[in-house]
Amino acid sequence: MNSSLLSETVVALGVAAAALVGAGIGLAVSAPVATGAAVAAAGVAVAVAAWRLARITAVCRRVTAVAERIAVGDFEARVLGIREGGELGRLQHAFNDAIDRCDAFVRESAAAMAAIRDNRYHRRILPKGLHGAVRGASETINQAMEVIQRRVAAFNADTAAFESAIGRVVDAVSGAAGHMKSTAGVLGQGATATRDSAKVVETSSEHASTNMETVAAATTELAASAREIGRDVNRSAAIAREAVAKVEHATQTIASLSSATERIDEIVELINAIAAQTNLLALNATIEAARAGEAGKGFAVVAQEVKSLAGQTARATEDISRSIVEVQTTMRAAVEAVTAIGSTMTEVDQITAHVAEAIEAQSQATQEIARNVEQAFAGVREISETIRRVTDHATDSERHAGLTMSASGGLAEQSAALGDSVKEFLTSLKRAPQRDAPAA
Amino acid sequence: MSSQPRPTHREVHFDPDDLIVSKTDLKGRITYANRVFCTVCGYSEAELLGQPHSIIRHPDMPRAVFKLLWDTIQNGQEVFAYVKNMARSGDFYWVFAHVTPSYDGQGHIVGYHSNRRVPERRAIEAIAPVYAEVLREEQRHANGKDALAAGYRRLIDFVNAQKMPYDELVFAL
Repeated sequence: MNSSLLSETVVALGVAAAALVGAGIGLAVSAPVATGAAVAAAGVAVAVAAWRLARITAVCRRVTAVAERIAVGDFEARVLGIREGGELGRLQHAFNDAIDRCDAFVRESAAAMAAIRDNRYHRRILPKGLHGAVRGASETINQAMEVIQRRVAAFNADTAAFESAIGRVVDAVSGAAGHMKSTAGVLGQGATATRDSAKVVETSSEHASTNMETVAAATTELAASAREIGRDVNRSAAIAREAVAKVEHATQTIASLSSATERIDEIVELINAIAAQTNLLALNATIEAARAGEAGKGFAVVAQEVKSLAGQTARATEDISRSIVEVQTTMRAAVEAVTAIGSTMTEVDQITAHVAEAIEAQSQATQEIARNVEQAFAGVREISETIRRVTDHATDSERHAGLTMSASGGLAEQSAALGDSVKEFLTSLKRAPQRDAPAA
Repeated sequence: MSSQPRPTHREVHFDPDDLIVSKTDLKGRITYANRVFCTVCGYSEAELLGQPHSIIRHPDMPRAVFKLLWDTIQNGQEVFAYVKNMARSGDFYWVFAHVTPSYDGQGHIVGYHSNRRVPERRAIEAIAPVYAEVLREEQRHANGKDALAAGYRRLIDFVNAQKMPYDELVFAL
């Protein structure tokens, strides 16, 4: 089979032509045997040529069938069972080689493009075994893939940097929002506690205020009664002083009464002496009368009368003396009693003075208390007002803390949403080529 | 074909500008072999057509590599592999095989296609000891299934140790 069908056909046709020429010469020179032989040879040669042509036609048909399949993109088609050598054999092998290289290029470029579709960028068309325009196209595609790979790498680096930057921002914001939320929570709790405490203080100060009013009223009453007592004590002191003066007067009266009794005593002594003298005279007269006898009898009676009068006078003066002594004794007792009353009165006076001083001091102390209570009352009123303002501020703080808390929650949500959106956006950017790819 | 050739230690080469091309049906039977393929392996087209592709399998090749190859292409993906093949003469030749599924107009896999190129020498020097190691692992097991599983594990361990996917690793060798 190594000889070529085509050359065999050409040889057969040549032989036929030569035989026909020989036959013509035979006819011209009238050599019937030679002519017949030549015609027979020509016939054989034509038959051989025709058989060879039939086979060439069969080869053409096979190659055409494969070419038609290739033309519609069926790269599985090849010329199989090539038995022909020579030009026709080379033609069919060369045809298969051409298809093989085109097939290789199609598979390589499809694989490289599929790799890019699947985000794999290392895949290159293998240029080995490819030649000419196909190799040139492969290299162009490889350069394009190189560029794509670099751009994708740069894009990935940029998006990664962007993602991490956004991530940091989101983390920072959500961290800050967390802090803000917890701070607002603490603030709100503090404000609530302040408000509660302030309410307690308000109630206490109102209570204190009421108590202060009661104390102030009691103090005022106390001051009034102290003033009243002071007035009474002063009156008592005046009375006591008056009593002392009267006691002194009484003492003087009694003293003058005492000197009067002493003078009565002297007079009684004098009367006593006169009575004793009279008695002696009466006795003398009696003796004289007796000497005179009858003539002196009348006289003796008068002398007896005078004697009894003198006795009576002596007895009366004795009575007076006893009475005077009694009077003097009573008077001394009276003087002692009056003196005692006087000193008592003096004591009363001194005590009253002390009491008056004490009352005065008490009155001043009470006024001091009243002033202090008034000041304390003012202080408590101020506390009440301050506490009311504190309560208002605490309520405000509580409300703001609540607002801050919900705002921080919103902020955290928004920042998380931002992070998610960016992540989604970047993912969709990176995946975009794959998603857009048609199903294989 | 009737008798398996005995491997020699002689390496044969083919032109770096050439492609060894073959196609198989879904079961791995050869449906097309190009002229370069026939020349290098020493079998005629007629001898190759209808035969399993393992006709050129070299005994130095671990089965785990073919498992990886088949698993990948049956999944509809392309696969690259360095393969040591054996010619009819028992000589060997290394190829850098690119195997891809062929699809019909409806997207069904109708067969597989393999383009083999002349591999980089340093890649062969890197992969040959790994294959030898995997093969030794397979030979430690009498049971074929266990052998394949153990070899496959060893191969995957090697890939994982390189910290890159297999399809990138084959180009990095």
